[in-house]
Amino acid sequence: MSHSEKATASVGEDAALVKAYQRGEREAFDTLFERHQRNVYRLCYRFVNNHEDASDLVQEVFIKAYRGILRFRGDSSFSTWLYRIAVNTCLSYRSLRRPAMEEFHDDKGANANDVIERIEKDERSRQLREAVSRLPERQRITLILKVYHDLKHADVAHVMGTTIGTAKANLFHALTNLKRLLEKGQGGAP
Amino acid sequence: MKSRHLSDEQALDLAMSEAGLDENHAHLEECDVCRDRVRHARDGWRLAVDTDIPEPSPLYWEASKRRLGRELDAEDARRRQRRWLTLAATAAAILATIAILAPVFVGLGRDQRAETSVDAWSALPRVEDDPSLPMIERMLDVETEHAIGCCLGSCVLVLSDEEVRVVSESLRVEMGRSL
Repeated sequence: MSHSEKATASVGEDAALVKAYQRGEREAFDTLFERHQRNVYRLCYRFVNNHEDASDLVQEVFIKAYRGILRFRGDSSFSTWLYRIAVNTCLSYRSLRRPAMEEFHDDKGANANDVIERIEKDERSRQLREAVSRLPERQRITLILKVYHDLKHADVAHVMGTTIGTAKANLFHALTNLKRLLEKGQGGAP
Repeated sequence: MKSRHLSDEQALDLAMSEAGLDENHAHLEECDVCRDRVRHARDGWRLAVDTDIPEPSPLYWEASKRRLGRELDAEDARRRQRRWLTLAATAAAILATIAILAPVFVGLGRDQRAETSVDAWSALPRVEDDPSLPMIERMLDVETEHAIGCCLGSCVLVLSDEEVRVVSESLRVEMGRSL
């Protein structure tokens, strides 16, 4: 099955689960949560750049989805609808900005070169996440949706409630600002 | 002469795709500014793609599901509470409406009953039920009755209510004098 066929099938399964929930099957919502919680978590994590806030945001996103799912009519796919809730939740979230959680790796049994390579990669990732978290909010969200969630420009525009042209312009500025931030060693706002 | 700079959209399309529009490629060859813009965006894209986020422990997803389950149970409880409150408020509103409107309807009923009792009270007894008639008939002798050419009963029957009342009152007064 091709990627697009899988995506279409997934959209169809989501729609069936939404209908099942609307008929009164609470378990259907649990299944929707299981299917989408990782994507929502990753989106939130990239936005806030720490696990605790991302965790809280995931809960908030799904509670909002639970409250609104009876009104969901399927004008867009469930995942696009959910992304929209997640983006709005992220944009309205005011965090205490807890420090990012340090990653833990069990390096027992790995040789020194592997460990050094992993540390360097982790450090690059950390710097990049820091840089992403410094982007202006709308640029940040656009970048996350496009780069990490592989949404089409039209879907990004729909989720952001804007035009395709604006979404593309936001992404363009996000990418150039990201490059600039990394060149500067993340110093200063873009 | 240089053409206008690329728009952000055009620059992004070129940055994300190796194959761009021919005229834009031509523009890049002669425009340093746009070439830098596209290169920066392309570098930004490559850097952004090449990054991971820490993956939480598998236990985290289960814990997260349980946490959401508790939240949703609480949400359901709140929904039920809201539904009951709505029902209670509706019932209270209905009762209040009844309490407000009931006296009005009761008052109307009383008025209707009052009108009915006025009819029953105000009219003199029907002619055939009037206990004073036999007495009057006994008091009048047959000759007098014939002399006036009619019987008292039929005379009273053709009178209007008001006339019956006046005649009856006059007779009572007269009877009272005679006693």
